[in-house]
Amino acid sequence: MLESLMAGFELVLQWQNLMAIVVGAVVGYAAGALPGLSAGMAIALLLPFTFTLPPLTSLVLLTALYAAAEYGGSITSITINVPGEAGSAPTAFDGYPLTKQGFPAKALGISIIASLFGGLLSTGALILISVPVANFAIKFGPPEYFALGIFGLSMVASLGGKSWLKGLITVAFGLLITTVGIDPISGIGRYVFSMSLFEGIPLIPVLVGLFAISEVFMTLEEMGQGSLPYFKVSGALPTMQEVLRCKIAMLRGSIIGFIIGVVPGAGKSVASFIAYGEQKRSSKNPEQYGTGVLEGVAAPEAANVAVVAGALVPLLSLGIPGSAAAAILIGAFTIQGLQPGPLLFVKEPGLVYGIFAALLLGNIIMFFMGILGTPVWTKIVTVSKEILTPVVLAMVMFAAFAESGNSFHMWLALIFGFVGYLMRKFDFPVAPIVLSVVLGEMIETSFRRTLMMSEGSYDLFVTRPFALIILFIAFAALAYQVYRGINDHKKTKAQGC
Amino acid sequence: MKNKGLISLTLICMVVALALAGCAKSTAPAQEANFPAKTITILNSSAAGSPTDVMARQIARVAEKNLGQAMIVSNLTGGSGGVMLAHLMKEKSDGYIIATLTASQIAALQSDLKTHFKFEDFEFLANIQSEPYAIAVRSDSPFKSINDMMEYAKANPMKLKVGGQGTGSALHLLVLELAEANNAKISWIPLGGGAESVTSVLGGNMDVISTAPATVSQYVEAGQIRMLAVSADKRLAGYKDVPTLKELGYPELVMTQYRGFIAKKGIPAGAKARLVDAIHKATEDPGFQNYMAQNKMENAYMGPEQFTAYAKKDFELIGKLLGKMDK
Repeated sequence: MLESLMAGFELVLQWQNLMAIVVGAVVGYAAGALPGLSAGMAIALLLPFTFTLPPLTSLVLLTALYAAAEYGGSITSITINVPGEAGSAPTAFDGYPLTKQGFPAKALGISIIASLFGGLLSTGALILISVPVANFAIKFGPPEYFALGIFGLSMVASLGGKSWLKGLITVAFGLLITTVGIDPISGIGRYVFSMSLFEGIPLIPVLVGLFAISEVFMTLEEMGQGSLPYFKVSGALPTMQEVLRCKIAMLRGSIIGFIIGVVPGAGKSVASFIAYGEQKRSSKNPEQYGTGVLEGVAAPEAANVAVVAGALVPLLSLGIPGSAAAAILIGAFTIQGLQPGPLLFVKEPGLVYGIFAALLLGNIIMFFMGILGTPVWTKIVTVSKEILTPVVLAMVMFAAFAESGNSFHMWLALIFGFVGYLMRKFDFPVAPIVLSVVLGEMIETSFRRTLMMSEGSYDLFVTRPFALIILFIAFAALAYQVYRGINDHKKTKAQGC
Repeated sequence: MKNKGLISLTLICMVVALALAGCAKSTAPAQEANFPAKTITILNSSAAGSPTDVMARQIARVAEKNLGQAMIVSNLTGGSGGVMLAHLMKEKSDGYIIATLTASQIAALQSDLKTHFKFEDFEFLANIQSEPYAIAVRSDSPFKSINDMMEYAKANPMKLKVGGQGTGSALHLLVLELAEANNAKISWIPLGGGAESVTSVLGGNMDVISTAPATVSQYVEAGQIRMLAVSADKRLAGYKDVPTLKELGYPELVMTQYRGFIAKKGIPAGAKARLVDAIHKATEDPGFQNYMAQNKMENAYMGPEQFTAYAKKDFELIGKLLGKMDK
């Protein structure tokens, strides 16, 4: 295997492949950073251009893009509280508070280091254990997907902020939203007032509306009141001590990210939410999360990048995409006349190991790009809000339109922007909606398919071991969070007001 | 401060300029004699890299040389193809904007899109590919033939788990017809895309899947999946030992996923002829034929009249099967 990897590196170090990695990394970084533009979209946009490139070059370009997007998504999350990607939303929970305290570079630095950690670890796993892991992941059926979805939702208890009840309400609202569209099981339309709603309410307008546009409205309100916050910003990167303190968080995030990525169709943005939730749950000072804890940035960021390599496991070894962006990557293979799957390793080992080598190299390149770029990103924080706000608004409206070519999505984004603004005014957490929208369809269809498989009985959820285990963990996590929440409430009451 | 005002003004101008740029409409009248005088757009309702998208791009690559104008593929997904069709219907039919059409959209015309479009709204230009569907199982399955499968289904009503994409889709209707012909009851589990079908059968979550040969070909080659039958008219060149449903005694079950091009009704005759000719010549190009061979697809070219008749037949068959399903 080592010789194959060496051979892969040889191929990748040819100048056109190196160029491809760099170009892919730059484009991916930008696509991830710009709110509303997603990796999937960028891949879809570049795909036609790869037609004329040789196979390895095109795949290396797109894979680097895919990975870099996760590096870039955290930039706007941390600096202006607007996630560049759905998976970057949890990074803002502790990243933005750090910026407000004047330490954006610390948050950015940790996010880059954690991303590198996650990227290298998961790529290593990809190289070493692809095939057995893929064979295991394939056993996941509807009951397991349902359990996984519920587990993902249970994370909301740790995101709920002060009131877990409000968190649950927003999750429920998010789930309701996902029922819009043509029901994939029965083929009957639900709430489809317009053809554009056939596929349901898409994620990008929701994400962009709830985070970016609501942020715009809030800033407008602040501007109107004449009270724009001014940050005194230090460019200090995290110290070695701080980095080492985060090592468990990074490891946790990487493992969670890799596993979520491996399970086909589990929704890769969920990984960072789960990593954040788990990190908070197992830390000694969970109540500080949300105020600017470095581990709270490290875990989700490691998870984000680990998901990419994880998603490549089923893609390369079975030809099954582990995420939506990976599905578009399959197109890159087919355009070249290749088929990712069990035979790819056998027929084109050079290509596969070339991709592995490209990923390793790419992560390192992105790390340097990130570290070098940190002083620039930090400057974003100092740009006057009067200039930044309209630019962000224009960018996200464009992105909402660009993804589908459908102007209906721009209206959706605006509507959700308004909804998000109202929610924030009334202290409802906004992030759980993203979680629900990402997981909703999977949960509903898995539930119904399971019942179809068992002809109406619920026993499949308990007789299948993995489903049972995951569900148990989900309920345990939820119960624990609620218990802790009630306890803390009692404690603060007991301490007297 | 003067500076702030200037910056805001510049930004406003930039945004307005960008917006206006997006509104520009092409006003050059299309003259039939010079067709094509500008770029032709091919709308596609699936994502970049999907089979139909790749077909369109392969055709465009060759045909544009013949036509002397660029042909670009524009992806407009959503609404079971409805978003793309709506866009097609909005524009003038002057030959500069055409669309891909597959069996999935024809099926949708009988269900999701029934109230939005009629079959007669479109003119059929040419068909390029026609792939049958396949019934497949994991290679260690006890079912070695359609007969085995149906025997089991007859003896165990609702126990046979058959998975495939969609509800009311051709894949679903195919299986329903098969079951009905045998007086058997099967349990249909609608899944997402082809990859999901493969995952579910390989992982043992489905007993049988209704899918396409192209989706499972590499797994068949790797010995992980076995095809029990295909819904073609005659046995496929690449799979000589897989029987057709027709020869197994189900003559009506000849259904394919076909892919071709259409235009909105009213396309000028001259433009239509030029387009059809260019597309036809593209299918004879060696580079294109290489792509077809690599994907194990046979040439299924049909001209306008043939394609219209074929699609109409399929449209009516789907309508009939859907009607039965609703009872």
